[in-house]
Amino acid sequence: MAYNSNRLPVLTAILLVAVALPLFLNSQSDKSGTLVVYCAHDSIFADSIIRNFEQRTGIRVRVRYDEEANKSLGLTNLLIAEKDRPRCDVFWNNQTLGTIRLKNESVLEPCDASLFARIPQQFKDPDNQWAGFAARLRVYIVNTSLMSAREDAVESAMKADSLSQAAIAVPLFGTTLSHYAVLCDEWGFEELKSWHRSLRDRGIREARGNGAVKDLVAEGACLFGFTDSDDVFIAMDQGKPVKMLPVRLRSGKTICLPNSVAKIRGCPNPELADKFIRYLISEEVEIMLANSASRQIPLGPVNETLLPADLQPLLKWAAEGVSLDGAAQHDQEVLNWLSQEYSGK
Amino acid sequence: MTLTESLLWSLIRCVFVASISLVPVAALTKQIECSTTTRSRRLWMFFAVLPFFVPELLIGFNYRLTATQLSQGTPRLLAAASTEFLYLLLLVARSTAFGVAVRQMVTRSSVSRESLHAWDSLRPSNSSRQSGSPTMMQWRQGWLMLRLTGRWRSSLIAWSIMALTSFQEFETAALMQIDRYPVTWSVWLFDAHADRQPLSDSVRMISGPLFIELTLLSPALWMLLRHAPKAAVPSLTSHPDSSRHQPNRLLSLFCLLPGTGLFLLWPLSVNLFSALRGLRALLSNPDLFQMAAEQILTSTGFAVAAAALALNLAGMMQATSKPHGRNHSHQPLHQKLFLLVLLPGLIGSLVLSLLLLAAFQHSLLRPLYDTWLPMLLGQSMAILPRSFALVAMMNQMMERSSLHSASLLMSSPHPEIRHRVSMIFWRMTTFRWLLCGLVIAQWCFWDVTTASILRPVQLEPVVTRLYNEMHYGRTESLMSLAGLAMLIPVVLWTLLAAFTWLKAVPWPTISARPR
Repeated sequence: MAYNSNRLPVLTAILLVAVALPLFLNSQSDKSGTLVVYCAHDSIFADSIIRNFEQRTGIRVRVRYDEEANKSLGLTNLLIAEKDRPRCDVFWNNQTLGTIRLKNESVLEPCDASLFARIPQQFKDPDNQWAGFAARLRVYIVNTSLMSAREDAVESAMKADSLSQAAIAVPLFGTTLSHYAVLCDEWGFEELKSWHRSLRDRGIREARGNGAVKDLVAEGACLFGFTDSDDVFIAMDQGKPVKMLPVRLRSGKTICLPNSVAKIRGCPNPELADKFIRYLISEEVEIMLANSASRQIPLGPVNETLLPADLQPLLKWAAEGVSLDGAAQHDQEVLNWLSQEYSGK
Repeated sequence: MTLTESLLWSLIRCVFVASISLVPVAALTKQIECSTTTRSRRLWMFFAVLPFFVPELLIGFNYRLTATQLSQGTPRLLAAASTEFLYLLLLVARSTAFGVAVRQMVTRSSVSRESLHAWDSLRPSNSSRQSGSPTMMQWRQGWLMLRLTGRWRSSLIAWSIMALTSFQEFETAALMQIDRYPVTWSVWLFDAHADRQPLSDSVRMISGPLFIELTLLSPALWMLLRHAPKAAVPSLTSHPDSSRHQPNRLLSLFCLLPGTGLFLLWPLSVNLFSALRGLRALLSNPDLFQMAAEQILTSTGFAVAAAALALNLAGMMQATSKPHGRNHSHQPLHQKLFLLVLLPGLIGSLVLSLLLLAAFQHSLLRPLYDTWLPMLLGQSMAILPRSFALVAMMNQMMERSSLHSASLLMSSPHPEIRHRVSMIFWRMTTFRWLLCGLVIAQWCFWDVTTASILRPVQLEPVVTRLYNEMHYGRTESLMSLAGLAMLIPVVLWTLLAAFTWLKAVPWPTISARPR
């Protein structure tokens, strides 16, 4: 039986209902008492923290999580697109440079300074538009079955003629892009370019993300690689023979990439947003995140006896973190160059 | 690598994949058609189309490490070649599944062997050309047309669909990419977006891929819309598929090997225990199970709704665009323009979703933003070209003469005959349409790009969660969730089969009861 053209009215009716029903439901739903949070931190870890807030305050939270599928395509771009009529109240980003970009795009609203009081100065915005908390570190992941996990061993391997057994994520996205922006600020653009060219000339393996770098090293396909501390903890929890060492700049500083939280300019629920931000950068949440599988490093003062033992060395490394303000100035410039490098645009 | 280079690479690959896949498709089609029992026919069919039902995202996840291991300790060129070869193999296995399904659905030939012989005998020779006989050019054109609409017809349609699906592939390539290989235009465009490329640039850039996709699809559309035979024409002479040419079972088994091995056996052997452990953990935690069930059911609901919309739209377009009468030029222009609705689906999920996102953020459509409508529309439009091709094939599968005979028998005074005829109607029409909807819903269910860009805040489809589980290496959770999600088509199929069986049981009616 071929398609029956008498079905046209039925199809029209379906389409009409498809349009009218969401319109009706949207107009009926009470949005004033519901907080909308955009969360780039992984839902596996963030969900229990947000549900805890709901139970404690009675405030309903609707969360839009970012997906790994989206890379940086997701929430930051979405917030810029929604700038004129935001539906989001609070942005919980899993890194910092994207949030600084939102500040530069006038997407963020300044908060009361008291909200960010417990966070050290180097990890928050001077205009109080965002604050960092619960950080990750850029680290070398080393396969301990294949090489020694010592800083001098990694440095020596980095100077070798061939890097075919080292791995890095394509620096177009996420924390690897932040890493490059930090290097650009520290070394200057030309030196960064020549370093990057040298890595590629010596045959470094380029994966599509830090998770893939972790897999390459954990499975023994590479000896070591650049990744984030949370990825290394995942591999360690899976019983893989890996260890981490901090990536250090020439100044001896480390690259510490905190989560960040910000209130959206013109958001529907500013008071609820303040309550949520206060909760999120509390000691309690930092301890919860430190004890999660991703072992985020607390930035504010916390009771250190409540932290997992394997996080202790990272506290010291995080305290040596470089300021990200300079890197934020180079973010777009670095991305433009990398786009040219990888896409020929 | 530039977009033009990656496009060229993708085009060469998809033409190669579609062409090489024709060999296993032909062997398996022959094997299925020559199966002596229904059970063996179904078994061959099941294993042949199996790769279609395994999501691209899971295949990418399974082979990402294989890709890295292949490239370990080898020169860069060899590493790139290894990754490309692995990707090619996966594409051939998947394309074979598509090809077999397409060839099962498309009417084989409207040209009998006798017609071909007759035309061959008309071949003009330079010495004895008679007035009224065709010129060599006319004869060659006729020869080609008879073969295209005859013996080569189903292969040509299958080739077209296989080339299109290979060209559009994104998930597997993105997940197994190492050192920027395999090169695909779809991953290139995604990276360009991640590099904060403006949407206007993407729309401009999509013209190249769109042109190629239309070119790849045009043979299938041309055959399905302009050269649709009423029914296959049997030959009076013996058919090459008859007993003289029995299928080579060994060759058929060899053709099944890549699909079954790469899409079933290897993933199962690697992940079965993780999946079972994950499933046990899921079942022992009611909250976790409830969340997973909600996500799977929501995704299913969306997929079914989007499939229903796409199926109806495709059917309506078929009805409108079908040429009436002998003269195709009588078809009004607005009916031809209706086919333009296919274009958004051909530009790919990524650009389509971003365009819809921009449209729904416009003040006019803003009230509908953050509802389920954008995602529903996105999924339906993304799937529309494939639905259109599927509906065209379904329309050709319908044996109009049988349906007409059945409709005459419906007026029989015997309830049992009426019951059997209604059963035939169900099998020939509704059941087939429901199966067609199931296939389209399967595509929608696993479309991660559309879901991740257009979903409303309160909704998390299971496919986006799977992506996150994958990233954090939670294989147990990932495999158990994926296993549950992959059960959905099985459950729907079982329901359909059960319903069909129930319909087949001749329940006594009032008039049939003994007095």
